[in-house]
Amino acid sequence: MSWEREPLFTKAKLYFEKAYDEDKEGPHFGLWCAMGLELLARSAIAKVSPTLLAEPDREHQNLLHALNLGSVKIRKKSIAMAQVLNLCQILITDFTESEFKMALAIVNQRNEELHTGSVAFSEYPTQKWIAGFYRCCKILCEFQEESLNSLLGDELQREADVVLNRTEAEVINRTKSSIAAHGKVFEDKSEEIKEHLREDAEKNSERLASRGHHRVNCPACKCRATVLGEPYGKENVVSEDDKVVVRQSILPTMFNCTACELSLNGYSSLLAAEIANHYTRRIIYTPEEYYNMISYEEHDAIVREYQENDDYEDYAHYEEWNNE
Amino acid sequence: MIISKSEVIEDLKDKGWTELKGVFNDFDLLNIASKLGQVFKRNNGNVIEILRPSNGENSIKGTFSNIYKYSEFPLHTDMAFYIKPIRYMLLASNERSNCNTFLLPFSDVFKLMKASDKKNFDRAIYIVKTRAKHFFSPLNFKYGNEIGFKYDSTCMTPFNDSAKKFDAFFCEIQQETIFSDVRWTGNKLVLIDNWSVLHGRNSANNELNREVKRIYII
Repeated sequence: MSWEREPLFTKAKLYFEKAYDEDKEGPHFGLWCAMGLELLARSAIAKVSPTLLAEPDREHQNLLHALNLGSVKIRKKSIAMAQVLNLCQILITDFTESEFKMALAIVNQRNEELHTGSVAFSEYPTQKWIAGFYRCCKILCEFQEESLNSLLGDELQREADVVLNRTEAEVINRTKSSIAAHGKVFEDKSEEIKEHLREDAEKNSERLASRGHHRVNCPACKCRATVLGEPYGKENVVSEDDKVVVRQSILPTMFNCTACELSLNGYSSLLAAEIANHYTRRIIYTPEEYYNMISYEEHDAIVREYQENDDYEDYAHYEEWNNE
Repeated sequence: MIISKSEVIEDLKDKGWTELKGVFNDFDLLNIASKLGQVFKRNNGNVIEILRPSNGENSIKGTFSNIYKYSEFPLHTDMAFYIKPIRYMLLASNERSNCNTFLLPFSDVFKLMKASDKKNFDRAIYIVKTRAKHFFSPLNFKYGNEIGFKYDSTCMTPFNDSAKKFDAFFCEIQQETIFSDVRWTGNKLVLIDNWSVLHGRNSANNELNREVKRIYII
């Protein structure tokens, strides 16, 4: 079994080639695409390290296989696809929850196709998933310094670009319409109400900023609003005298304005609204909070609570199962 | 002996290989090889191998000696069964021999390609088979900003249509292309960029005593 990036990516290319030999509305097009997507996601993870694909085991046998040091007598086991997609979400900035859900939906159809008697992709028409599928492919390719062209070839890349551009145009139109509509409703309100809503929005955004939201101006009513997003990359932890400061890069994926009630979901919508700048979330912890320590002041209260609530009967066999 | 690393690298970049004249002992060979990168140590611990024509009887199954014996070795990339084959190869012989090494840069192959051949090259998928594992491989591979190419008909079997078409094209051009010869005229060393130049060996039927030293550089 090869968990290195190149063979996985090459095999993904091959599976997509098989997919496009099939009728696009036929049941096997989706199956080959789903299997290709799985290999593509695995190759993206292997770009970070093939060891991430090894199923954890006590003897590290799978890890040794990933390092090409495994025993031929022992079967290799890789992690399940849901976990692969979870890792994609952690490691690949642009692979957000929306891509995770889309990829998982395709993989679930593949499972249904392979594990049941039903014709899974017949019940899940191509038009429902193809745009999300291409978006996942593009993100996974770019992460491993490949492209839709190197994956699919000239003609299919052109087709994918058309689908992606059309979807992007739809998102832009939908977002701009929503912004215009909310802006108009807000403008039609009396000055007094608008001022009141502005003040409330300002206070609300300040309150939310301390809970990890990021403040932006609403593209519709220009009041203070907030975005929330998904963390990516490494946490930057700095310990100072009496506090621990944790900085984390965030990809914004949700927007909400309390003044005009405009709400946007998904990075592409926020991008269309021009409020998708990545930001850094800064959280300050006390050392006790960060390291989950018990302070002197709390110690007595915690012990008391523990003794009051604890049923020592539950621990009757403690010595037995703690005995190594 | 003193060689300039930049001159050698320049020549390797320019045409994919370079020749040096002089009497070379093993120390010289290792010194020159190590200027290009890390010298590759074989499983048996050797870094310098001595290549001699063989009837293939005792050779490992599937190797060139085993398949082609004393006959001509067709164009190939050394260690194409690795995802990234070794980077450079040093061949040297202080003896004369009429059994030439012949070379063909991939850049010359590209010049002969029509758009459809280039497309086949880019989309070709092969199965690489070794005793240890089988895996899919394209003809090109990336390493940082560099792109390398590989081909070896003994371990790479064309799998998709593009690969089959490329193989037919490659077979055809080999009949018509003039290769560059390395003539072993004595006291000679050749450095080959294994990622950009294919090499082969003429028939050794009349050169059974030919000896060439080889060092791999990664």
